[in-house]
Parts: sequence; structure tokens; C-alpha cells
Amino acid sequence: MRQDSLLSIHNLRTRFHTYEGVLTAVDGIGLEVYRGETLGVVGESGCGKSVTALSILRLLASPPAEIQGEILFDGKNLLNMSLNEIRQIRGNSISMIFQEPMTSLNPVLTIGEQISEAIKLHQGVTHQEAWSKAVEMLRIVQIPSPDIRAREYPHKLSGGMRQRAMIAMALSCHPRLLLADEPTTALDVTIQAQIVELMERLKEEIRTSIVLITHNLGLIAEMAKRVVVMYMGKVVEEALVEDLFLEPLHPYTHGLLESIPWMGRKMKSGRKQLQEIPGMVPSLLEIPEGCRFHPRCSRVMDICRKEEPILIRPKEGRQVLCWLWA
Amino acid sequence: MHETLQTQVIRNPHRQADSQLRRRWAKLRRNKAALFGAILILIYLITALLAPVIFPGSPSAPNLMKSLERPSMEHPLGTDELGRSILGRIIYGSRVSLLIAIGVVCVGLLVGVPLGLISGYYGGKVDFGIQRVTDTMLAFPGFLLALSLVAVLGVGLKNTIISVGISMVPIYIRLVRGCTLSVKEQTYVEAARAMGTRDVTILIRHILPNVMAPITIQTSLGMGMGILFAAGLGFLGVGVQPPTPEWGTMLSSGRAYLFNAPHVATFPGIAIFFAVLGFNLSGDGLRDILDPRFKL
Repeated sequence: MRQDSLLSIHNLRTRFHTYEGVLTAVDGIGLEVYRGETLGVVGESGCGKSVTALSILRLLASPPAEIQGEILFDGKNLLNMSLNEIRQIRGNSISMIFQEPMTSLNPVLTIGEQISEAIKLHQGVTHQEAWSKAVEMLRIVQIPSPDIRAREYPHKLSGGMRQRAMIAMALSCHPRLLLADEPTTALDVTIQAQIVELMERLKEEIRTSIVLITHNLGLIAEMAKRVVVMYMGKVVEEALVEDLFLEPLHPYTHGLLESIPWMGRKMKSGRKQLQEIPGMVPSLLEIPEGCRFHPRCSRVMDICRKEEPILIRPKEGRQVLCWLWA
Repeated sequence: MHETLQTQVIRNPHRQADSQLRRRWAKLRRNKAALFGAILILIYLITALLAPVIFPGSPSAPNLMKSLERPSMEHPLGTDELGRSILGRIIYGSRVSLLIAIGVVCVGLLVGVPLGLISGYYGGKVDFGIQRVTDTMLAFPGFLLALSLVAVLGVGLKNTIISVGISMVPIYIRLVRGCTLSVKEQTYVEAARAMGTRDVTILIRHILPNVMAPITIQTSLGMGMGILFAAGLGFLGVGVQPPTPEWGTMLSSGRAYLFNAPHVATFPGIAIFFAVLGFNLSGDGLRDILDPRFKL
């Protein structure tokens, strides 16, 4: 473990007890987030990205969820904390922004009330102070005439503005870690660019680390320094962002990169048609034997069908879960 | 461009709040039935508040010389078997009925809403416990439940309010639980939890205001139902006790003279009818106004 590790997850396993059986959404993953860096987490829908984020803040209702493993934040295990202790962490040291800016603000409270509520909660300041801090946060996220906007209800703001307001709320207590769960997915492209720029700038100003959860590889290339690729609840590859794009090791990562449309680019195979990963993500209730990716893998070998692959470290800071590199 | 945007923003807030009120008022005006209901309630309210002005003198003092008189100039709605003015008793009875209506929904709200919120938000065993009790209560017809509670608590105004109120509790629990179940899945509730907000704060600040619309509607409907139930109890002689003027009790005592003095039972009946109609119509109207999906 490096000295400047802020969040370090070991063997995290999140399971849901459902009527159809036990569903393992996150299956023994490990990852590290260092101070001041942006870690990208990519994968298809349902691969466990969001569940990982929710597990970190323990926001999953339990039961049905059951979280095992170790989540060390600043050396303290979040999973062993009492509800009061974890509440002190939420919004204060670790905060989160969500995918749907249209529904992540309460329609019956003004923007200012919602942001100042969070400030009052963690900083023990008076109502006036919290309010002026809230307005200041709205100014920082570049909402025009923030003092007027603060008195307005969310329905008067556009999606991009609401996401800014959400970011203002999430950063109002200067958290050390920001979990951004698909922060730009519901926004149109120009607004996405503004939000990305804003997050980059605020990261420098507030010196927060970011865990950026997305299925948008372009966003990862733009913002992240290191990337973790997840598939069916497992981390299948971890790399620096340049390494991942230049030389993906796992066939799944390779497939993901091949399936991005690129204007005017010829595919490696020489064809002009866009590559895809064949098949569908299997149900988490019917996990394939051996490597989970083998039914869809283009480079499948005999061993992949029988034995689960082990994590291989081809070099420092790089991990891959695949028999190809064993 | 920036400047125009700002001026627009500055002028907007009042105007928009204004226009929203105006839009709701316009909706209400177009909804003739709801307007009618609201006017009925208003008439009853004014009558109740100004009872001593409208009808000077006691509504309970007997005057046996004038018993069972037909409607006349002196007594526009006639007199009852003890010679008391029926108009006067209906006017004073509106105080009792409105008091019952308000008291009943207060009991229903104070007990039902918190239980519904807790049941819906926490789920699990708490929810199971509360819901099975609710099931049991709902298994009785509402009036029968109120009646059996009166049997336990005894007669009188206070006990009528408590009994009828409790019989309405399960309706509020179910309603609020259902709405809470859908609201608690909203991202803003999750976001509030992610900010470290306490459960109590989430329930009161984030969930309750978002389930207010159905509660408001149910409250209006509940008031009508409360008046009806209380009148029913009065009719059976286990509600508000004489000589307090109460519509149900009046109806009951008029029953004996239905053939020779039908006005004694008829007018209190009409009073009950319009009061309940008023609350029901305005309840329906409120639903149309508060439900944004239901555009008139």
C-alpha cells in the first residue's frame, strides 16, 4: 500500500438476498484511490460500478444487501463504523453525485435550502452562515446570479444547472473523496463538457480525489489518471489511462475500446464496420463457470472454461484478470 | 446576453409564484363542482363562527308550548318536540359538526401519518408489524370500528372524536405508506442520505412534503366522512349527548315524528347531506388541482 492512499478497498463483496437467490453484485474486488487523483471505473450496466460506490458509503439497505470485506478510508474501516460515525463521513469526507440531475434535488425545497442543510449538518454553523456559504458554492459552480437562484425551486433549473447545484452540494463541505456516479450521462454533450471542466477545476481547488464511475470511455480518457475495468462484479483490468487505451490487456477491455465509433477511423481488422462484443452479459444468478467472460471472449482457451483466472500484475500499477497473461 | 438573462431572473420569482396561484385559481373556477363544494364549506364555516349573531338566544332552551310547530316566520324551519327552533339547533349543530370534522382528521393525521411514514421508510419487521395491525383495523367496516371504540371509551363529544378519528387511522397509514414507498426511491432521498442527513430529517424535510398532496385530499374527504360517522353515532344515541345540538341526534329524535312533523328529521338530514357533499366535492377538486398529471 502506498503512503498516499486515501481509500483502499480489499476483497469487497456485496451480495443481495433476493427471492430468486443470492445475487453477488460485487465479487471480491480490490482497488486503491490515492490523494488528489481521479480513478475511473468503467464497465457495462450491471457490472457493479454503482453498487461499489453505494457500498463505500453504506447506502444500500441491509437486508437485502450484505457487504463484506474491508473499505479503509484514511486507515479506518468504513464497514466497522457505527451508523453515527458513517453519517459523519457521508457528505463531509466522502460525498456523492448521482446520474439523474433531474430527480436528485428535492422538488419542494429551494436549491439554497438543500445546500445549506448539508452545510449546517456538518459544520455546525448558523442558518445565515450556511446560506451565504451555499450561495458561495453556487457561485463557484458558475451558476449565474447565485443569490437569486438559491431562492428558487429545482424545477426552474435546467439539467445542467441542476447537476451544477448537485456538485455544489456535494462539495459544500470540501470532501476528500467525491464519488461521481455517471455525472454526465443524462446531460447533452455541450453541457457534459462544461461539467467535466468544472469538476476538473474544482478538483484542483478543493483537492479532492474523485472516483468517476461511467460507461463513457471518452470521459475516462479526459478526466481519469488510472482506470479500473469491471465486468460482472469483478475488476478485470486496472491500468494507467494511457496504457489502457494504447495496449488493453483483457479481451473485454479490448472489445470495449473496439466498440467506440471513431470518425474516419478504420478498424484494425481493416473493416469499416464497428466491432462489438458478442452476446449479452449473463444474469448474475447464472455466473458462467471458469472465467466469467469466456462465453463472449474472442480469445477463449480451454482453461478459461474450467478455472477462474487469477489476478496477474504484468508491471507496477497494472493488473489483469485473464489466463492469457498467466 | 448575460445582462438580459439576469434581469429576467430578477423579475421572474414573484411573477411565477403569482401565475401559479392564478393558474390554480383558474382551475378551481373552471371546476364548478369543487367551487360549489368550497362555497358550501365556507357557508358552514361562517355559520359556525357567527352562530350567536345569526341566532341570538339558546338553541337548547325548551319551550313546550310550541312543540312540533311547522315552519313559520318565527321559526323558519319549525320546532322540535321540545319546542326548540330547528334552525337554531342546526346553526349551533354546525359548530359541533365542524369541531368533530377537524378533531377527527387531527386524530387520524397525528397517528396515521407518522406510522405510515415509518412503515414505508423503514420497511422490514417494523412495516410488517404496523401493516398487520392496519389490516386488522381495515377488516372492520369503518363505522363498526368507531362504534366498538365508543363501546369501550363511552359516549360524549370527546370520545366521539377519538373513536371516529381512530377508525380513520388505518386509511392514513395505508395512504402515507404507499406514497412513502415511491418517494423514498427518488434520487433526492438517496442524495440526502449520501450527504449524511438523519432519518428523522429525511422523513420530515424530504418525504413528508412530497406526500402532502394525497394527505390533503384525504383530509378533506375524511372531514366529510367524520361528520357522517359522528352523525351516525348520534343517531344511534351513542354520540354527542343531548342537549348539545348535534345533527345526528336531531335526526334520531325526529324519527319518532316522521309522519306528523317530517320537518324535524328532514332539515338536519339536509344539513348533513350538504356538509358531506361540500367536503367530498372539494376533496375531489383538490385532487384535480394538486395532481399535475390531471389537467382540466
